[in-house]
Amino acid sequence: MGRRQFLAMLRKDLLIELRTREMLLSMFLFAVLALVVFHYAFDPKGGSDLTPLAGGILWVVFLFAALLGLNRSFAREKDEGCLDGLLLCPADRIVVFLAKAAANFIFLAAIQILVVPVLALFFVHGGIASHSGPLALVVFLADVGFAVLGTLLATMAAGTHARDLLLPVAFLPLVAPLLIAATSATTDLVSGGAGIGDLAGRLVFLAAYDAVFLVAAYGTYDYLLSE
Amino acid sequence: MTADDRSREASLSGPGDRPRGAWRRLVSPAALFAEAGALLVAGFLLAFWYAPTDTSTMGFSQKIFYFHAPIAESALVAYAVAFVAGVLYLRRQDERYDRLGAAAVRLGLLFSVMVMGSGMIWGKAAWGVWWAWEPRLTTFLIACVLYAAYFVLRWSTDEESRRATYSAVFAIIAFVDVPITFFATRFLPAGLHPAVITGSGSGMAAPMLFTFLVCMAGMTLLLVALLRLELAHAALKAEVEELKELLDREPEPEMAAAAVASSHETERGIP
Amino acid sequence: MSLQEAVKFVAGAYGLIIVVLITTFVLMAHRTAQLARELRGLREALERRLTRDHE
Repeated sequence: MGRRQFLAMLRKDLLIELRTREMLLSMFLFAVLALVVFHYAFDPKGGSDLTPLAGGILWVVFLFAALLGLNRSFAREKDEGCLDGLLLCPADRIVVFLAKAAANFIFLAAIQILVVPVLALFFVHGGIASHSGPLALVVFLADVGFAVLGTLLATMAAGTHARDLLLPVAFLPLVAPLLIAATSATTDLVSGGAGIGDLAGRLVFLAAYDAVFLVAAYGTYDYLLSE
Repeated sequence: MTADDRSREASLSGPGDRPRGAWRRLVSPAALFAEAGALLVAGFLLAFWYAPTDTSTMGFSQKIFYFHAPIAESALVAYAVAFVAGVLYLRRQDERYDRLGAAAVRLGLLFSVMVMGSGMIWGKAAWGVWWAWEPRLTTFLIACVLYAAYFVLRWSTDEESRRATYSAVFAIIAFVDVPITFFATRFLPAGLHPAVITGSGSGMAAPMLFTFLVCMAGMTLLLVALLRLELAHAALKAEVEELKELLDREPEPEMAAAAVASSHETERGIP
Repeated sequence: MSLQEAVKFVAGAYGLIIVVLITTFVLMAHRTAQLARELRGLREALERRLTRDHE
């Protein structure tokens, strides 16, 4: 029963976005533009090899694109009263959370898939095709964390009057460990030629982070939606 | 609220209730401050006249550790209190837990700022730089920003019960995040900074350990004392608001009498 | 680092902590006392209102 509702809610979110594509398009455009800005920020005179910075650049750009997307997805729900409708349906609140988080995860992953090649084109000398396996794993685990925390916080932010301000301020310090791990792993992969063995510790860390916050969200989301 | 509700609320136990009997004299706010003060003065004297000077490269500047580390520990205790208060609020919906949580985070933030200040001074003394991306300083920096966000959340949430719920959830996830952040900065290959604070490391000489424990006890007691003071302040404020509101409209005699009675009750909780 | 300089830094750190803690305590105690006074005032006003109503 829960599974069907989960899929239904997930489909609804995905369909809405696919019809307008406004959020994905904006996130992607923002990301590309941010990459350009980073080029001029770090290589104003041109000619330097920014490969060692590529990992960091990826996650910074992605972080801000994610914030844009998260805000948007909840603002829309709130404005159109969808949230009330969702609450009326006889589903476990946690299913609502999982569906929203899954939808956000899919959006984030979609943007990642589009942005990483552009990043490789702009900044990585030597390409990243050879590292795509481990990179995909890092990105997957980090995106789960982003989606879980992002959905949790965006739900709260949507209930305040300063939602656009609050989400970044609260989100950034909470995902700091995630960013630290992901950035260091990505940098090692892209510029250091590390293999998946070297990344094991960080991958476990990312997975643990995801697990911990999934549990936290599971325990608290009910209360959040009751407000 | 009717008079019945009031007496029912007063009989439920909760945070900020006056402790009974002989305990009361020991744990009243005034007594706590005196005890904390005594321990801290003792600790201070011990640090400089009893504990031996560190023999490593840090030398005399190691003395900062005797206050710096206890303050860090107290900040974490404050955040832990906020965590527990958050869980209890969610389960019992008693607004006193919300007050406790906010007070705890406020104090935790204050203590964290002191950790950063003393930590940076220690860093300058020990390594010659005002900042280093080392695990403890970085973790407390992130904690400062994080718990400041707690207040941004509170200020931007208008409705009271929603504010309390959101604050509770935030206090819970924030507290979970702090150790995770610490692990991230410690175990992940980050900076190549050579110096690491090993202050609370293994094998502290006995006199150093004793001094450290005295200071730790003093600082923790000080936190508890400040927390009680904060809670008293918050309770008084709520009472004042209520009386003001009652005076504005024309109250029925029973309500007014009940308000007078409960304000006596609240006032007696303060030394 | 000479002992002189180290002492200055140590004094700075302890000074910062002590000043902040004492300031916090003084401010909070002062504001609490103020509120207590205000509470008493309001309560008296309420009591006066009560006795007035009873007449």
